[in-house]
Amino acid sequence: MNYLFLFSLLLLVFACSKTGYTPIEDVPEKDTLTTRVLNGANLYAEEIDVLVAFLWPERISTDDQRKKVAEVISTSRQIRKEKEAFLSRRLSLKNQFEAADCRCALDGICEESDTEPDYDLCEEIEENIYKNNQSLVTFYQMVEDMKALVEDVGGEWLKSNTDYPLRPLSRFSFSDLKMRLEVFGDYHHEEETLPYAYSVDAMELKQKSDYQLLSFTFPRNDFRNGELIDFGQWEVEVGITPSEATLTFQGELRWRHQGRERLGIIYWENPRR
Amino acid sequence: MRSVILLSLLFASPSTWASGLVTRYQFLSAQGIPQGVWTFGVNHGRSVSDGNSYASSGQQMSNQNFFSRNINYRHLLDEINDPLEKELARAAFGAYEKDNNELAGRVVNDVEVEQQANTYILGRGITRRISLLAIFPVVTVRTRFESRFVNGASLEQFAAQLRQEGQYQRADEILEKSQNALSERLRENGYRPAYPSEVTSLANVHLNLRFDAHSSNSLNIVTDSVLIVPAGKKADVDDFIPLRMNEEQYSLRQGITAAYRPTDGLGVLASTYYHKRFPFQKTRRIPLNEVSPLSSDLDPNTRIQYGDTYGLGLQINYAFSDTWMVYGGRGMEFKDRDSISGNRYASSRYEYLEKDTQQQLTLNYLGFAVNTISAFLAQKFIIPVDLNLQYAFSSAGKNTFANELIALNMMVFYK
Repeated sequence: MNYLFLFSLLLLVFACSKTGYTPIEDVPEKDTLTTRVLNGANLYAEEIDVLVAFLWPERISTDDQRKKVAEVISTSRQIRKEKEAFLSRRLSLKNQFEAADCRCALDGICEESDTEPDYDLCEEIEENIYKNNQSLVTFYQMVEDMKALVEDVGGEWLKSNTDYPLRPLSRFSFSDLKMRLEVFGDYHHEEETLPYAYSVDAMELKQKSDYQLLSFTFPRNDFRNGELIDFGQWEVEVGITPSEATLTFQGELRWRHQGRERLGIIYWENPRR
Repeated sequence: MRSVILLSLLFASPSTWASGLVTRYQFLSAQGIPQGVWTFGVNHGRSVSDGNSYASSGQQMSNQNFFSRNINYRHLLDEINDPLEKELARAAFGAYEKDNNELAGRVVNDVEVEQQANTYILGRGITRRISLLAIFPVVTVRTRFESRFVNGASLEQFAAQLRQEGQYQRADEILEKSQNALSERLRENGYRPAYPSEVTSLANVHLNLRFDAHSSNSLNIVTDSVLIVPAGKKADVDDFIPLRMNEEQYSLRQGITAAYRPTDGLGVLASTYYHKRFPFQKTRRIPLNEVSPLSSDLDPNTRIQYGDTYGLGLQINYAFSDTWMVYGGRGMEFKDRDSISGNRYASSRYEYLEKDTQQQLTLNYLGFAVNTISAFLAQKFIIPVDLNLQYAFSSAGKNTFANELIALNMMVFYK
């Protein structure tokens, strides 16, 4: 009887185990809408003014690399500010030029008007336009500095129209969300270097709470043994910032190939018409 | 007053946290089981939290304050598993002048724990002086847990700066990641994306050899030599809230209890015990820093020795008759710091697991008991049973919950 009692007790005790789990829920992401309309795009030119793209190194392990990566980030912030300031001044000067009818004063292209254009003012405006354009030298030097830093830390800098000034400008078509990249990296063939060019047809545009997000993918090419072959895929996800002078796209660039992934940055601008 | 045979035991329902101190049923007794008599008992205890805990300083604070942590930028970097992303984030923090030790935010954790124990006791008087008891506690622990990250002013300013510079995704990523910090971290580090909200398990087996060292009309002294056999649910390395019910290693507890009866009906009992624990090896996740226990770094050979515990108790009984008794008591318990070490990672990381494992608890309890053994022997009652109802609460502690407990203990005897 006692052994039966003990057996029953042990059976009861050991049959009791159970565990119930409660999941940890994610805070739901704010709703985003897919849209085909890029806000305010009609104010901007479809030609891309400047494009910067690079991949970070596969690993960052030395203090020297860390220092240079921090410099790249600081320089990229400075480049953005400088370019925005340049474009803002350019727009302002353009408005001043038109308001003062300087095409008439300086170039003799006049329309019927009751007032005479102010030649001295127009000369001053033209001088300021020249000085503003000179500031581009600083801007492009900063881009070159950044390129040197990226390559120094083991990253990959992608050539753009700036390196191939005779090529047609890359274009972003706002109405149908398509892009033509005339220069996006380059390769050596025989004794010359040639740019990779891509057409991007399928893009996704999302409306977030206070900005728009553009994302797209396209295959990466590689030139080997005399032919272009598939070399993985480019993935781009950029936030869009409209300002008075420019429509700026900036964000992440990724290259995926054979299970590997490289991270990078991409940035381009469409200036105001 | 003829002595009332109170065949309850120096018995306390086992702690929810194997080796940890919690508010639990305590009743001092210096009686053994008569030779040849069997006893079977059930203790049902239920503890509830008043929403507070005792910090390492002894100060009582809300559970939220106790379990919440400030997070700086260095901690945010520690949370990033991918080495390249970590370096890029480090460089970005530097470029935006965020110091590693600057406050980024606070992880606010709301934790409530309730425990219920059904403990089964089987005992027998082996000889006139020796009693043997086997105790099988089945514990249910219910946990409620919520966690959120509250952005600090610095992080909000960082995100605003990023937005101003057109880096909307980076700003969103920082804010969204911080809101889902816990679930992201659990996923990245291979944890179960859930916590054990209700666990029922056997919590070790206690084999108690009670020896009647001295017995007289006014004074009884007994010793309790207990072997704790590890049993029940072990902490799962994939649970980010580890409920340790299983001691995971054999341990020994030695106690001594003296009961002095100065007058009829009045009893004064004093007790002390020491619980010795031994080291063992087990797989543990080794934290990266002092604020977050989450880590994907596993050491299968982590050497663990839970801290020894020891305590003192004082209880006063007053028996109105052979049947009715009231009592009150206080116990003070102490637990040494756990010792955790290993060779796979830096020793400082193992020390994070030892933090706040040193404990203290002062327990107070009141109760009344009904014992029908005398009435049964006088054929005035149908069964010999001892019923005991107790209310216990903590009044001081360190690194423990401030809980209250209601328990009902019932023992039956037969030969």
